[in-house]
Amino acid sequence: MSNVVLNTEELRSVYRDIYVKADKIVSLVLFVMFFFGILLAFFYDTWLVAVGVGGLCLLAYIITRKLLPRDDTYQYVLSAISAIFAAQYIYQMHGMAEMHFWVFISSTILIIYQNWKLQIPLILIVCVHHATFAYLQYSGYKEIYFTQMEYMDLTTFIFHAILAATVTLVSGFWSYNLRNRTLQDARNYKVLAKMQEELHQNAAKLDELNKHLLTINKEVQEKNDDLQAYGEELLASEEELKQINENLNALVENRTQALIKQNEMLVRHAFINAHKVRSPLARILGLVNLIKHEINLKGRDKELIDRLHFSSHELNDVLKEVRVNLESDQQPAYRNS
Amino acid sequence: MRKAAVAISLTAIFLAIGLLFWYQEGQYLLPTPIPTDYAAVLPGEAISLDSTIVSSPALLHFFNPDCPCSRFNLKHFQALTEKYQSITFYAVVTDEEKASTARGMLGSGIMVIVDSDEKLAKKCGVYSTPQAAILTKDQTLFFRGNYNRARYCTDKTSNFVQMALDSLVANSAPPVFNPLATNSYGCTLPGNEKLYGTP
Repeated sequence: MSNVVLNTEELRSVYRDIYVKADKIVSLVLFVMFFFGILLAFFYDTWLVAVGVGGLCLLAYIITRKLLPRDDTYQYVLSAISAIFAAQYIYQMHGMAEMHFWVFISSTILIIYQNWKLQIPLILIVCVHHATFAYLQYSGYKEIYFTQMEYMDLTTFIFHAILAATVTLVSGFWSYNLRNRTLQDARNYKVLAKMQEELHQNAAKLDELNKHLLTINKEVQEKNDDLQAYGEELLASEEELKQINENLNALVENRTQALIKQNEMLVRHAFINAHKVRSPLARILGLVNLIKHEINLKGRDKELIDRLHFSSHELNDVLKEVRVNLESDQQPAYRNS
Repeated sequence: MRKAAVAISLTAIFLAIGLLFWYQEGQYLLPTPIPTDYAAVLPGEAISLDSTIVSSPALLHFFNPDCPCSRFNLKHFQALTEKYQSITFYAVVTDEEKASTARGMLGSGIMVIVDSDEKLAKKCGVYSTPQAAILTKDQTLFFRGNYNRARYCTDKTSNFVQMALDSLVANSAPPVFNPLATNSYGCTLPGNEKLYGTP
């Protein structure tokens, strides 16, 4: 997520809400600061400074903000006038050390804008102010410039400077830290928004795909119904075929039985013919042989006996063939014959 | 265009703020310009005072309620009035209006002298506020100068007036101070405003 970059418009958008809220708070703080100066004027009649300096500070802030509303210059002006307000209070209370706390208060208030650079005008003015006094004091001027304390020695001044710098450094660090966090949140938000967009797109695609699948499913369902109907028809046809087949089997069985009976009857008739006809034929063959040997035939008679002899043998061959066929149960031989 | 307007406005405003601080504070860091007709009055010189001043050790506090410097050392002055009961404290102002304001600021225990033509100031060699002129009971100038080198009288080592009063009460000679005690700082008296000379 760290490689996501925010453009200028996105950055402006991120900080718009923060600045609106910060500006409201700061407006209230400036109002309080101005009236705090007015309150201090009661102590030593410092009305001119309270109204003059305080009013000019507010004017500087208002003018900058009105003329450059989209620019952050007014925040830097705010930082500068915070230092001036602190100097004003110090002056108004005749150098009361506690008025320095306003620098620290202002430093922490500036964190709200999440810009560490805003600490610079504040600490710069404080530094220039103190450095000028320190230069005058340590370069031999006889007047005392750091008030309240009997005399500000170098050690006190160094501690003063270090502690003031520490406050602004800490405030600057927090500003920097908060800004980074805000930007990281914005980058994360951008990534999440993009992911959400992609999810929406994917969901739309899935929805479309789902619709398509539903259509296909419907078609499949319809085809399935058709198939089922066809199956039922097939089942009915199969049943019918089965019935027909059973009928055919019965018919074949009946006919086979009839054929078997017919065949058996034929066999019996053939057997009868073969065996019962064979006896007279054997006697005829014997008689023919006997005639041919016993009687000396000639001419026409001999020819008739030969023919009778031949026909008797021919009949004998036929009967032999029938008998062979019967004995070998060769049914086709009957059918063929 | 807008940026230029902002730059000009901010420059003008910050200059105005600087001028205000200068007017209220900065100018008083430098010695007050010495009037051209200024005649120095040295300690030990006799000062002829009118009948309003009683013949006792007195401290004339040259005061201007409109002068920021006079307001700076108000607390210190009041502390002195409480500490030195044997000294009569007077506040010297230049007109009745200031006298009225001074009474309100200093309290009813301090007598206010209206030195409208600044004769008293000239007699004491004073041309700015706040300044103190300490007079002995025989009306000679014991000390004339500043209360403190610091604007808010916070430097105890330079409480010049207090140290002078201690010497007066102890009947000893006035202490010798450096020029910071006698060089005049603060607001010029109205009559001397157009008579500046070389400081």
